[in-house]
Amino acid sequence: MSFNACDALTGVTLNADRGEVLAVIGPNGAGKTTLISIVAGLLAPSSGCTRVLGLDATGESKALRGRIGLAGQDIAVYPAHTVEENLRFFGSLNGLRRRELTGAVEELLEVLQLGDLRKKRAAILSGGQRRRLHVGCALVYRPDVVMLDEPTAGADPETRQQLLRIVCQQASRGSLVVYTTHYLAEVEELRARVAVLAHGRIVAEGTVDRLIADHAASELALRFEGALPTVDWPGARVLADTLLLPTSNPTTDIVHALEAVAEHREQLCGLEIIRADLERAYFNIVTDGGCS
Amino acid sequence: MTRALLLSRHDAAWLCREPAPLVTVLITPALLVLFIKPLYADAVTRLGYLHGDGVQLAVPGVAVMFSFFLIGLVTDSYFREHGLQTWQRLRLSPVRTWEVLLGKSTLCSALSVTQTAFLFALGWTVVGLHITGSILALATMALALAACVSSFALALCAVSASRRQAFAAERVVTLTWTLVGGALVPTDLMPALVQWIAKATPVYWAVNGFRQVVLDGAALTDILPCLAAVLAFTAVFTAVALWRFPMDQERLHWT
Repeated sequence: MSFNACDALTGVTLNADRGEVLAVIGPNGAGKTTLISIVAGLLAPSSGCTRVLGLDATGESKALRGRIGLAGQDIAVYPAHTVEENLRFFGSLNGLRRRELTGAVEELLEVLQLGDLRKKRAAILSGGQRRRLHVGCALVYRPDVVMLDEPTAGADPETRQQLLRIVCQQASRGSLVVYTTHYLAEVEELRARVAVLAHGRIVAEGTVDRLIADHAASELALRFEGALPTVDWPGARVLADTLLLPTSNPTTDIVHALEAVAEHREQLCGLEIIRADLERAYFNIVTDGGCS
Repeated sequence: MTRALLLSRHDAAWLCREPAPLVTVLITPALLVLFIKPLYADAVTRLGYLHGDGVQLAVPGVAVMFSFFLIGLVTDSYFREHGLQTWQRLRLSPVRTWEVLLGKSTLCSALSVTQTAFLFALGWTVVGLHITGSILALATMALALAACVSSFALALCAVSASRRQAFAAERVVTLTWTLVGGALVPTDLMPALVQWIAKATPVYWAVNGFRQVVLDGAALTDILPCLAAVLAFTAVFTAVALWRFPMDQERLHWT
């Protein structure tokens, strides 16, 4: 998949391959849903081009029908129909027949842990169950590209884990999964390639490890009572009653830090290692416009 | 075609789960026929049918009027897809525009035919309706009417921006057609100007076709002008639906 468009999204260029999970993260209003809609062919870009599975998503959208699965932010299921009927309907509509359809539906009912609820109407499902069904309707016909727009929003931890498992399964089967979320721990868990979108632009892109390495550093946080000591430590900074010391090797540097404040150890009342993670990298990227 | 059938079966299952509209389809028109039959006794005599007792006007009129009231099933089904956000899923599926149109209208057509058959059967068995003409002509007119109703419903879906807009248009247009077209009061008893305007409504031709079969003993060939007129309306509505059906647009269920 490649994408290059302007306007609400400006100069966005992204490439992703099958078997990959591409996580698109960014603040509300950054353009994530617009991006998903354009790639899915639901929205035409004012300029630029989107190629999905080698086809123009706008001009050749008919050829892509049945090959893209979308679970948007809003749950899209038929409340008067049962869990099984919802899955069978979207499977049939996208070309699955008889054994293939039954196999796909049964597999999803098991994976989504909806087997016991198969005869229940979607209207009476809990929020988490309905969300799982919503994602299932996008996956039942085994699309080559799966777009999941904040699929875990409002889901409990158990539902979230199940959905993450399904995402990994889809990618391992060779589907490209485009995944948007505000829960950055999910992105780390998925080991996804990440694109950070802000104000309609891609401000950073890379693996989780790359983004953390480039945009965040671990810190030693030393909290004091009273006046803070002055230390000779590159990048040291003060935040209220805490001295923050950047480190690339916390286990070794913790000893050096204690030595550096040895004369003030009576005032030292707390020590914590703040490890660099995607969330810290994300904040740095978004607040600094991509430059940490 | 399979996908069109799938869509109509899906709607049928929905109707079975929430069958309230079926009350409108069968019970309400049946009651109306029974209650208004005496009111037409004088009218049918004034039209020159001295042995008529009113049922000859009541059944065709109510059948046509309530067929057009089925439009709501189609518009509701279409806008419901937008309200439930499932329209996006349909857009991403291989379903084609004509399959959506066919799938969304099949249930309405089937119910229209069922309703008409039920009302004529009720008239025959309960209130002594004697059909003097061809049953084939009657059935053909019922099919043409069903096609006309469904195509008009699809045209409404195509040009309305929201469910409420479609609902308002549906009520205004169908009630006007019903009144002007002679479903309630025979156009022969109306002023000349209204009689002329009536011919611009599909209701007029459908009601006339049915009444010719019931009162004049008409055969299929006798009602060909009425059938042609109803089918011409159907063609126009279908053309509007195909031309304007917004497959690639999101619509509002409720504004």
